[in-house]
Amino acid sequence: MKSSSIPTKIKSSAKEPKSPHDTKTNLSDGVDVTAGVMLREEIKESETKYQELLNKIPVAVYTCDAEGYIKLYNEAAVQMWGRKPESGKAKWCGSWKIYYSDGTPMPLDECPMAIALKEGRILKMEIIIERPDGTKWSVIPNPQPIYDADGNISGAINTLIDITNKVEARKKIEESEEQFSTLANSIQNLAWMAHGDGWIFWYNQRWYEYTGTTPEEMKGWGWKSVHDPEKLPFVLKQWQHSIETGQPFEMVFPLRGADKIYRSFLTRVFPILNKEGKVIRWFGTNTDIHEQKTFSEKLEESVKKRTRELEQANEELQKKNQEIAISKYNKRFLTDFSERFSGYKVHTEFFNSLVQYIVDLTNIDYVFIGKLEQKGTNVFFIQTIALTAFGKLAENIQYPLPDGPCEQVIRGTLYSYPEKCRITFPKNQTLIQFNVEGYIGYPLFDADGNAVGLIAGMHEKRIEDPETVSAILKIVAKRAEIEMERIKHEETLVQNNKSLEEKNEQLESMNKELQSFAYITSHDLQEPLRKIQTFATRILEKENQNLSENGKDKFNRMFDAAKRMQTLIEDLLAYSRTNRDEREFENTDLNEIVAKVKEELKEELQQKHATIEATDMCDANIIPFQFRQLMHNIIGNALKFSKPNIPPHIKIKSEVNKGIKFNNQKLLPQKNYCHIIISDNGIGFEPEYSEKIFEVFQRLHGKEKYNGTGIGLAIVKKIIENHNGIITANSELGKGATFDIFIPAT
Amino acid sequence: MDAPSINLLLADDDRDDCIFFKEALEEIPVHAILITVNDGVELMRWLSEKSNTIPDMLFLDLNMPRKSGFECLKEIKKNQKLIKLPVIIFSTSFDKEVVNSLYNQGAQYYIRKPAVFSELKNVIHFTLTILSKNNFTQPSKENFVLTGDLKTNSKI
Repeated sequence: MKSSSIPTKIKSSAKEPKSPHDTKTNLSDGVDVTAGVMLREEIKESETKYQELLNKIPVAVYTCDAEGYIKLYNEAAVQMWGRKPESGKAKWCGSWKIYYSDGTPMPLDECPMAIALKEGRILKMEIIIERPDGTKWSVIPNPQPIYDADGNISGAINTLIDITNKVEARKKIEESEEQFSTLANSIQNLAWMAHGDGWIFWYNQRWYEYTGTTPEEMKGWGWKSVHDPEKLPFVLKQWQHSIETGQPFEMVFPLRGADKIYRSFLTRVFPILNKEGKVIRWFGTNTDIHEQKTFSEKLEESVKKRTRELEQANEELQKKNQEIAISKYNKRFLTDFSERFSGYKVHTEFFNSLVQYIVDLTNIDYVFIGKLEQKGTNVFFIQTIALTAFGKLAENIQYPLPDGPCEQVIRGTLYSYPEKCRITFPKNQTLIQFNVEGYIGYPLFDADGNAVGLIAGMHEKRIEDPETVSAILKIVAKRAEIEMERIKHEETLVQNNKSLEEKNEQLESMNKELQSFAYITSHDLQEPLRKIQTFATRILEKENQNLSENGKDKFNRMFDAAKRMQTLIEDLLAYSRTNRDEREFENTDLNEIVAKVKEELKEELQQKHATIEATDMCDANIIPFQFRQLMHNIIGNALKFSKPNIPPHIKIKSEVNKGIKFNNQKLLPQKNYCHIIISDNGIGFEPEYSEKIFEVFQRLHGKEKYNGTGIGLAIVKKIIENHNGIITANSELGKGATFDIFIPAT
Repeated sequence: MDAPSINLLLADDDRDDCIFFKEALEEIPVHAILITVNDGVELMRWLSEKSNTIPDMLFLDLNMPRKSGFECLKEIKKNQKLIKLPVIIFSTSFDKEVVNSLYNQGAQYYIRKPAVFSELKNVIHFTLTILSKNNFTQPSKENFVLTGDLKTNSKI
């Protein structure tokens, strides 16, 4: 309302006298009736003043007499009515037409002014007045009856307050509120509004539909009744916080539906602030994410169905697809994964890093790797070897296997229970203890395909993305399996090493015993034998003339027997000492060795008219002392086992070449060997003895024919072994023998 | 041979060997006086006895009760009064390492007790003769070991 312009108009119009005298008189008559004749003059004066006063009032004012005829009115009233009421005719109201606020016409004699005059009742109501030009104004009349001295109504004064603008504003609000509630009711979300202090004064229709409540029940803080009593304190706490701070509120909590089932809602509340920044209103929505989940699950299912169809179409392709799917799953993940585990972490540290890695990727509350273990015959349990609880490594635990998802995992493949785990396995104490809602486990197999443990995640809430978690578990499982297998091998190795060490110790102590035995043999066993010989020779010498030929023969045989045994003992000692005697390798000319042996065996060579033909002799890295012994024994054998009446001829050759050049599989192909060949033209031996002749005490002939202890070639073999070499013997009976020696050359 | 008699000391616990030694010595054309002790403790006591003249040479068995020939040799070679006493090892056993060690400790000869009596005589005779000739200097290592077969000695 342009309140500032009206007083000016009233002021200007007040200068022209608008009210006719009779009107004044009429009024003064009325006054005359009530106040008496004596005051007529004073009244007249006051009437003039009254009219002036009226004109100064910026709102529409008029008076009526007791019958309802309009007496006085000011300019503002003329402006409002759009006309000047006809004096003496216009009754009750200066308007042309009036209406109730709902638009129904109101008879003039029922207007508030009329009621006030006729009944003395003051009606406070809104009315609409219509001007002759058809424009309508909303006004609130404020009629006040005027009483005379006797208490009778002598007239009334009415002020008309223009509220047209207010009404229009209100209409707009009503319209927008209607639009808003239509909108609010049409959305799927539950919506509500609260005052700044949190008092909820409005809910949309969806709210009442979902909760099955009435506005009466819900008013103010009535909403608490549809909350889960367990979660309510948290909701209240956060809501109070928002009210106190004016911060927006966001939370997921269950709301009970009309069907008494709780569903999860994402609730968001935004504050509406006034100019001072004070919250005057809260606007909240509750979004049913339960439905969303169902929807996405349906979507997933249809995707799965389609995938299955594709998979069935080609079994082979499916396998490849799986591999590709895993490899494709996330290249970055795999790179990250391999980078993270390419280090040298082993054992506990490694398993810990695996579970920690899974947690980092999935945020699963409990992640663990467990080993299947057994107590007694039928009691199985899981012993964790790495465990995280809420992202941090925790102390390992043990829990019984039966009646839980782990048992199924151990028996089968992947098991995924993203939710309702405790309901599925009501007997399982571990699930209760850890408050498990979702569970995904994957078995770990050893190299033979036996399940030896598992890798699993347990979640206190539903597992949101079981496919991803499963894929990660599968990948990590492979790595865990390898490590478990490696540890198993390592343990076997340690065990083997231990038993080897034990055996080594045994061998060492046996060796010591053997050495002391060898010493005893060398001394104590030989002494009696020597004495038998000494006594025999003493008797043969001193008592020669007293002995018969037979007696002498027996003494000689006794002497020989004792001597043979002494030789045997000496040979055995030589054999056992071959191990520990000097082992200094020298690059030696084989010609020198042969020359020395020739010197040693000079007499025998001469006696048998033997010849040694040593050609192409090379240098060899050998233990000279031992190699001389070797040559001595082989050449000695060649002389001993020569054919009667045929002079022994011994050929010795040597060359250095790669192993591959020689026809012997025991040689390394690319290694250089010194090959020494010693052959004779003696009696030879049957080929089947070619290996046996190197064994201790192996004799192919009776000692009457060829004496010897059967140790000579055993010593040869041992010397060759000391040289890391190989010796083979080849022969046919009557065709001589050939010895092939291979020793490593540089 | 008109050489003065040689004083010999034999330390050996083996009675048979002591008899063999004595009999062999008797059959050798050398004038020698033999004193016999039967273990290492007895030997060392005899040597430390002031009234006893230090012998010209000592034949020392290795394996003896109470104190072995090794220990005796060590003690003798540490003792200033005895250091020059030629010690001839007289033993059944033959171990290359042992032989080397004895040579290094200053033993004069190593006699491996021969089985044949005549060889025993030979080796004792040889020892007595060569020691007088060599003025009791230690032979070279390869000539350290003596056997009854003196032609091919030391090569084992």
